[in-house]
Amino acid sequence: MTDKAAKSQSHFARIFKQWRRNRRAVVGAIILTVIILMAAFAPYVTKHEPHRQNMRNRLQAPSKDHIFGTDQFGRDIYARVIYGARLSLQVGFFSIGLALIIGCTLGLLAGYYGGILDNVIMRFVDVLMALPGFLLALSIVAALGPGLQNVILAIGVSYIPSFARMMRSAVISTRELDYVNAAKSLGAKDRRILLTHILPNSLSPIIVMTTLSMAGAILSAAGLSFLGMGAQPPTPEWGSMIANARPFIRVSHWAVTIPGLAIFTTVMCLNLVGDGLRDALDPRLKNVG
Amino acid sequence: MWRYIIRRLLSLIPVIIGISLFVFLLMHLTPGDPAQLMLGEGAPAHQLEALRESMGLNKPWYVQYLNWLKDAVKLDLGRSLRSNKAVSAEILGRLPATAELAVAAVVIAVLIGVPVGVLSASRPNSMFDNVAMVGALTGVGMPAFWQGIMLILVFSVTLKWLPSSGRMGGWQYLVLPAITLGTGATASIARLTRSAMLDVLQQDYVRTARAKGLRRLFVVYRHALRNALIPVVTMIGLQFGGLMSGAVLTETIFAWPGIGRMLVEAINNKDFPLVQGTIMTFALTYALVNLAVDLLYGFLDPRLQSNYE
Repeated sequence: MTDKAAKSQSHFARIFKQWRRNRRAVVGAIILTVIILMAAFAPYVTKHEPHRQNMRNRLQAPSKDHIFGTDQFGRDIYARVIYGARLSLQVGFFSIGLALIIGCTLGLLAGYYGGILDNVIMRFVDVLMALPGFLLALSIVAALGPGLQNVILAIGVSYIPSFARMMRSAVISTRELDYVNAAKSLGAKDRRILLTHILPNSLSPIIVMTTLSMAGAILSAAGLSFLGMGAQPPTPEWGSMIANARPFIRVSHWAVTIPGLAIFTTVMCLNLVGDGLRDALDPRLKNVG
Repeated sequence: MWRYIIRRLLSLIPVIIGISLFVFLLMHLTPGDPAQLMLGEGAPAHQLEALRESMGLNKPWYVQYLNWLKDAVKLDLGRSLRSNKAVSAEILGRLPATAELAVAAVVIAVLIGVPVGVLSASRPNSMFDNVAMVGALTGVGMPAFWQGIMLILVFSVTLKWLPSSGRMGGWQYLVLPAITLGTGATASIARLTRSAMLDVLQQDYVRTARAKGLRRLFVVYRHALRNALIPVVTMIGLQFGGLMSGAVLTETIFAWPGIGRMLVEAINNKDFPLVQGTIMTFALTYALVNLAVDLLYGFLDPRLQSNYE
């Protein structure tokens, strides 16, 4: 056991070393960490409240007091962007978490058992894939009604197919390998084989896809909110901030520019980290995501 | 070849039926009474009841679905609850605008993405390569709706060079929406072309061609590019899904009268037949484009043609 632990540690140490050599990925990870910390400690990094209105102080350009200016209700844009990071990160985390759990379970079952189960699961996945992800999420939110929770659910469902398909092909390629057959002939139960032998060996593509999908999920969530189908005002959600400040863009563009830059930075950092992980974990995965 | 196409088309049928059932059930879940929507608030109860009866809304959902499906096969997708026009007519009326926008976006993406990728790959880690790849990463991470607004801010509001919305004819109206929609695809294609070219340029036949004394540029374009294009073509197909999603946002920003914007309006109006019809149109287009990409694949790589038996 200790031997195995030491080995797996060196495996991850090697991957980490490889990943660290990718300067872009490291920069992405650092900025992402800063964003996460700022979101977590929002009340400590801004003295303004995201909902406090001040109609005499509307649409101000950046100043010493409001470093990113104020929006159409005189609210501090900096504070709203920081609090908005909480929402976007949550959406990314929970929606992809949902897709990961459901998608991987479906993929594992389909790939391992094959036969009718595989057929049923994959036809279901085919149906979900008949629409591009964002449009699928849009239709689901249209039915459930606007709101951040529904957005999480909708985006989660829209990412199920990619996780299920990836997991299934990973299982199929490991199912017939010697160590799985060895475990089988030693009398291991299916559940044990799936969870301790097959799943860990499919971890690399899952990690890469999770990181890159979170970037996509954050973009989709902002897009849905922009269309008025996600978070509702006055929630400081980035997409909805852009949509609501847009009519005032001729007067002052800060309330549109800054949340957009926030989305862009977060998504870009996640992509950089994901790209770096892909290259470090498995260079053959160049085309995943 | 034809048998392959027919088989693929037939295999689309269950998927299309599946997605139509899925969307139908979603619409069924949505709160809101179509009869109420058509007659407006305060309509007398007996009129509402009569309309529900005549529209078949009192029947169980599966009967309603089968009726919808029966009509849909005859390309009758019902009537819009708002305009009372045929859904198919509404869609056909809006489709050209979306097609125009999508084609313009793909043209931009291919005309810029492929050459940038080729140049980057032929001089890896050069100044050009670095700038281009950082630019491509930027393009992938940029929210399309925000980019659209920024373009309007710069080119319409500040410089007053291009119109900010509408489609009054004239190429000027197409420029900003097409750039907005095409950016993501341009970036992805540039990135993929680069990595595909780098792969191909290391192949033996490229080295052989160079050793024969052929000029570098000739080898890059004649030998390497054609082989590198195979994954790129798939990418263009995959990008098409993103393009359809992007069309919804882009058309909304630029008030472009396509089916993407119509979908958003229909959702806001709770115009269920129109939502359903639009989504089905998207699904069908998506499926056909993917089929076309698979066929093009065999054309580019004759080794794959045996798969089409």
